[in-house]
Amino acid sequence: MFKLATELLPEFFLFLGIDFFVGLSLLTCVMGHFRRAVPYLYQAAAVFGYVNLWMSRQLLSTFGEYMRFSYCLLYLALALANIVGINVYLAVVKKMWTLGKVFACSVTFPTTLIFAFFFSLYEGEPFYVLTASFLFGAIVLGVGAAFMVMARGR
Amino acid sequence: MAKRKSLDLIVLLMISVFVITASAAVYYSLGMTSTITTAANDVYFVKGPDNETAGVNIFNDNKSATLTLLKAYPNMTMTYDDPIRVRNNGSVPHNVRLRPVSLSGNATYFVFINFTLQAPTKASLNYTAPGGSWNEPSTTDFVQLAAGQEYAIVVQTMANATATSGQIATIEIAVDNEQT
Repeated sequence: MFKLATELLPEFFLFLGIDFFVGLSLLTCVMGHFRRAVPYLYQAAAVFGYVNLWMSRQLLSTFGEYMRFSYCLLYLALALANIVGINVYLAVVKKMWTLGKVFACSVTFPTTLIFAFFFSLYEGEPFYVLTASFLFGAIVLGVGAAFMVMARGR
Repeated sequence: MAKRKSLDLIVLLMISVFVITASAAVYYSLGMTSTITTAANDVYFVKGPDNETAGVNIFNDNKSATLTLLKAYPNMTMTYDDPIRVRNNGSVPHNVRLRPVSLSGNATYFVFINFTLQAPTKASLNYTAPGGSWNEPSTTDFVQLAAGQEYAIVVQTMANATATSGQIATIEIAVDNEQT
């Protein structure tokens, strides 16, 4: 069967994860609520992702698609976990509720939606359940953030 | 302090641009990478019951064939019902089509030479010679060969009423194969 040229490779998740880490690095640098090393750590994580991508290309015939998908998804999940972690750190540890809500609406929620969107494009029936759960999580997060913002505004 | 932060931001931005550009380039080249393994062909020629009459010779591991004893008689349609077959020996259906490759011979001596693959949906290459010049057919649409099945290629010929004996037309056609 001929396949569309636009079909996603598993490495797309790796690429997305690299972008998330880079974005996180710049955000943490600009926000100024973190130690100086934190943005560099995220940049190092992005470079690690790049090396991973390069290795994946070099060993394409050795790694099966399932293995490639697994480590790419793991990397992206790590990037997402870091975004959520930063959000929680700002809201709970630093007790900056407003900033936490803004971060949730402008960073955490969109990245989760982007992840769910591209994940749903990746073929295979077992992914539908996971995609649905990610979408559900993103919507709950978005609605929750909206309610918090509304409640604060009254 | 602000100066140090600006410096950090510039450094991070530079690294970011490098990392994202390099990653995009690697991902793009990854999309262009393909692994191709040689494999035995599932679709090939086999001789039909009329192979001797048509002078069928199959070679090159059943991937090439010549039909050297085909005749065209003046004002009479000559039909070779089953000289050669196309077989799909695989376990999945294949799509095939007939494609004209080359043609030589004096058209004034011929009326038509037709090749028809007798798949459930027929595919025909009809070479006609109206007015003394060849009318070359275009490539047929793909038709499906079911797994484990073989279909005959019927050949029909007719020479011009005034054709003299011994005139030769040589036609080369290809059977293109596409896996479904």
